Amino acid sequence: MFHRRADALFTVVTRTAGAVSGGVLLVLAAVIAWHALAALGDPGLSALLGTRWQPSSGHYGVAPLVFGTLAVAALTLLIAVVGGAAAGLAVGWLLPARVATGLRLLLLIAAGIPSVVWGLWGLTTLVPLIGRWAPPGTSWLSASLVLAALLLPTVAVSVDSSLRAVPASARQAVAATGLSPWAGLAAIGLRPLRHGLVVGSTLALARALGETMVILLVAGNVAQFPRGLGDPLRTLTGAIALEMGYASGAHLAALFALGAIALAVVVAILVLAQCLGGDREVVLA
Amino acid sequence: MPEHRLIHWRWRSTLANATVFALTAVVVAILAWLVIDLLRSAWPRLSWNLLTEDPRRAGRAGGLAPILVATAGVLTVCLAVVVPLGLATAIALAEARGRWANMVRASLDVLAGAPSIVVGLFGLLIFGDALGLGYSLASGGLTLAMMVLPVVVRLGEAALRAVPAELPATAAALGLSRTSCWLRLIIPTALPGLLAALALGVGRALAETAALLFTAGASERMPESLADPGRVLAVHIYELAMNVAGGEASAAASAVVLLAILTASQALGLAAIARSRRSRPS
Amino acid sequence: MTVPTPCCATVDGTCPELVLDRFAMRYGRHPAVAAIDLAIPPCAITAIVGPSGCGKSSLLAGLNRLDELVPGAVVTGSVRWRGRDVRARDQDVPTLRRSLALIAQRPVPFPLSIANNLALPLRDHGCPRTEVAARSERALRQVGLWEEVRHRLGQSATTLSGGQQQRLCLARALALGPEVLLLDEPCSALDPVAAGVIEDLIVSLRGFYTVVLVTHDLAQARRVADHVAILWPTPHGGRLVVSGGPDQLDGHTCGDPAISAYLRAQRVAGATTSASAVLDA
Repeated sequence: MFHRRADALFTVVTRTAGAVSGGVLLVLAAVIAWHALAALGDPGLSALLGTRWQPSSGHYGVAPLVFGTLAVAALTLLIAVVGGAAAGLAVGWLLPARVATGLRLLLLIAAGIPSVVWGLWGLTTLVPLIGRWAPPGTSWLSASLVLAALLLPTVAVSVDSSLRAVPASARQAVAATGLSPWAGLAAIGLRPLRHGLVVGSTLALARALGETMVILLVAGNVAQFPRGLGDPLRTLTGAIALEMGYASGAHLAALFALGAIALAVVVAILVLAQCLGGDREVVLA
Repeated sequence: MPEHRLIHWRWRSTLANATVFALTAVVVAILAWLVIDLLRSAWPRLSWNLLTEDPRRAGRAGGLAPILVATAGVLTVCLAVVVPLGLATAIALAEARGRWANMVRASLDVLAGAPSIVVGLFGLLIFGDALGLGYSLASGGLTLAMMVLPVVVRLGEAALRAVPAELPATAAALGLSRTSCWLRLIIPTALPGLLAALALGVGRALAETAALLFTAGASERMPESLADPGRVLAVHIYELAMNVAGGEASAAASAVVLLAILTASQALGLAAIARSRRSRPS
Repeated sequence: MTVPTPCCATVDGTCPELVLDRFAMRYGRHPAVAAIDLAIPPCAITAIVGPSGCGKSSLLAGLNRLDELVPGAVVTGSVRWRGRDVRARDQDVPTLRRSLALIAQRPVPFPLSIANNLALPLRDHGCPRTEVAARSERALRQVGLWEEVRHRLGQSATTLSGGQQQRLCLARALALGPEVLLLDEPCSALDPVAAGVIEDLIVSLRGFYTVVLVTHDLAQARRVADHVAILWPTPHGGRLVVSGGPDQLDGHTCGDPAISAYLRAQRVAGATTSASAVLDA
C-alpha cells in the first residue's frame, strides 16, 4: 500500500527474518532426529524398547525413563491445575479489585522464578521433610510438588487472563441481577474459564515434560519404575543432562534418541493444543 | 424460591469460596516459604564481596565475579541476535495476514515450549561442534537466543499491532514510504510494549540453565573473551546444590543474587516504559 | 510549486481536471458506489453530500487510491487526473497522493513534535533540508497556525487542541504542494468554533486548489461550495442523483420525492454556524 521502491529492501529484510525465525524449530527437529537415527543402528530398536536403562552394562531400554517423565508430569499437572485454577479464579473473578491486583503481581513475579531456584528450595527444604516419611526424600512426590509450585503460576495467569477478558459490562449486568459470583461464573464465565484452563494446562504440561533442573535436584535420578510416590525416578531429560558429559558411541546415540522422544512428545502436545484451542493469547509464564 | 433452597445455594457458595481462598492462601504461603527459606540459608554468605571476589573452595567461599561476567557475556550474545532478528520478525508478522504468518507464529509457539536440554543438545552439536565454538559464552548465547526469540517476537508483535491503524493509514495518505512509517512512527509509538517484551526476554534468558550446561560450560574461571567457557549464575546455583557438599548456603546466596538481578531488570523495563510514556516528541 | 498561485495553470499542456468515468466501488460483494460519471471543476470547491451510507467517503478514498488500504475493496471504471488514469500501471502512487491530498475526518497528528509532523513527510518526499523550515512555515501560515505555534514547534503535536490538530493535518498536506484537496468531513469531529475556523480556512483556499469536500452538513455545503454533487444510497451502491450549482440543494429540481424531502428537511434544520456568526453573538 506504500509503493516506494526503497521499501523493497525493507520487505526483503523483514520477511527473511520471519523465515529464519520460523525455520529454527524445523532445523532443531531435523538435527536432533538425524542424530537420533544413529541409535536405531546401535544400540538398535529392540534394545531401546527394553525395560532397563543401565548403559554401563549395555541396557538401553527407555521405558523406565519414559514412565518417569510421564509419572512426574501427570502428578504435577494434577496439583498445578487445581491450584492454578483456584488462584486464577480468586484473582480474576472473586477477589475485590485492589487485592486482586496485588495478588496478580505476585503471581507474575512467581512465574519468573527460575526452575533451578525452585529446585534448590526443594532440595534443601522439601526433600528432608519428605525424607522423614520416605527416605531418602528425593522422589517422585518431591519432584511433582516442586514442579507444581513452579508451573502453578502459569496456569493461574492463563485462567486469570481469560476471565478478565469477559467484558465488564456483562459482569456488571450479571451482578445487577443479584447473582452471587459463583452463579455469575456459571452464567457467563464457564467458557473463558475452560479456555484459560486448557491453554494454561497445555503450556504447563509441555514444560513439565521438558523440565530438567528440578528433576535433577529433587527426583533422585534412579532409572527405575517407581513403586510408590516416595521412590526416586529418572526422566528422559534428567538422563540426558546427567550422562551427556561422559557418554560415547551407542550410549551417546541413545541419549539423542531420548532427546528426540522428549522433543516429539512436547511438539505433539503443543501442535495438538494449537489445533484444538487455536488461542491467540500467548501466556508467557 | 423456597427458603431451604436459597440457604443451600448460599452454603454451597460459601464452601466454594472457602476452598478457593484456602488454596490461594496455600499458594501464597509456599511463595513466602520459598523466599524466607532462601534468605535464611543465604544469610551467612550474603555480602557485597559476592559481587567482586572470585569463588574459593569450589564456591563455598568467596564471590561470584567470574560468574557474573559470564552471565553478562552470554546475555550480550543472546540479545545481539534476538533484538534485531526478533524485531524484524515481529514487524513481518504484524504486517502480514494469512497462512505464512500463521505458520511462523505456530512454529515459534512450539519452539517456546521445546525442552531446554534438547535445545542445549542442538547448541552443542551445531554451535559447539559444527561451528567450532566449543564450550564458550558465544555458543551459550546463541543457544539461549533460540529460547528467547519466541518470547520477544510474540510480545513484540502484540505491541506493534496495538498501534492504532489510523497512524499508518495517515502515513499512506501522505505518500510516506513504508520504511519511514515503521521506523519513525510505528516503532516509536510501540516502544513501551517493545521494551516490555525485551524485559521478559531477559528474564527468560537469566532463568535458563539446562540449555547452557553443554554450551557455555561450567568453568569457574573468569572468561577473557566470548570464546572462553564460563558458568552463568543459574548453572552455578545448580553446581553448588548438586555437586558441592556444603554448598547450600552459597547456592542460596547465588539464588538471592539471581532473583535480585531478575527483579531489577523487570523494574528497569517498567521504568523505561513509564519514562517513554511521559516524554513523547522526537 | 512555491507560493500557491491561482491553480488554473496548465502543466505540460494538461489541464488540472479530475474526471470520474463510470467509477464504481464495492467491498467484496457489498456495493458502496454505483457507476458515477462526474467532472470535478478545477480551482473550485465541490461539495459531495448525501445521507449516511451513500458512499461519499468511499468515493473520496477512491480518488487517490486510498481504497487500496482496505482489503477487499474493488474499483471499476476510472478516475482521470490531468488526462491520465490514476490506476495506470506507470502511475507513481506517492506522487499521486502528494498531488491529491486527503485529509481525514479525525485529526491524526503524528506522535512527534509539531515541526517534525511537517518535516517528516517533506524529507521523505525528497525535500532538501534547507527548504524544510521555509515550506513548513508557509504551510502553517496558510492554515493560520503559525502565530499560535511558532514558539513551540518542538512540543509534541498531541498537545494541540482538536481544531489546531486538524489545521496541522491540513498544513502537513499543504506543505507537500498538492493541487487537489480531498476533505472528508473535516469539521465533524470538532466543536462548533473550531469547525467554523476550518470552514473559513477552506473558503480561503478557493481559487488556489481544487477542493472536493465531503460533508453531511447541507448548510455548510450551501455556504461554501461552488458546485455540489448529491449521492443517494441504493441497494446497488451510492448513486449520483444531482450535480450542479448550490441551488440544487434546495431540492426543487430533483424528481425523486424522497430526495427532495431530505433536502428540504435539511434546509429547515440547518443554520449558519460560521465562526464570525458564533463569535459575534
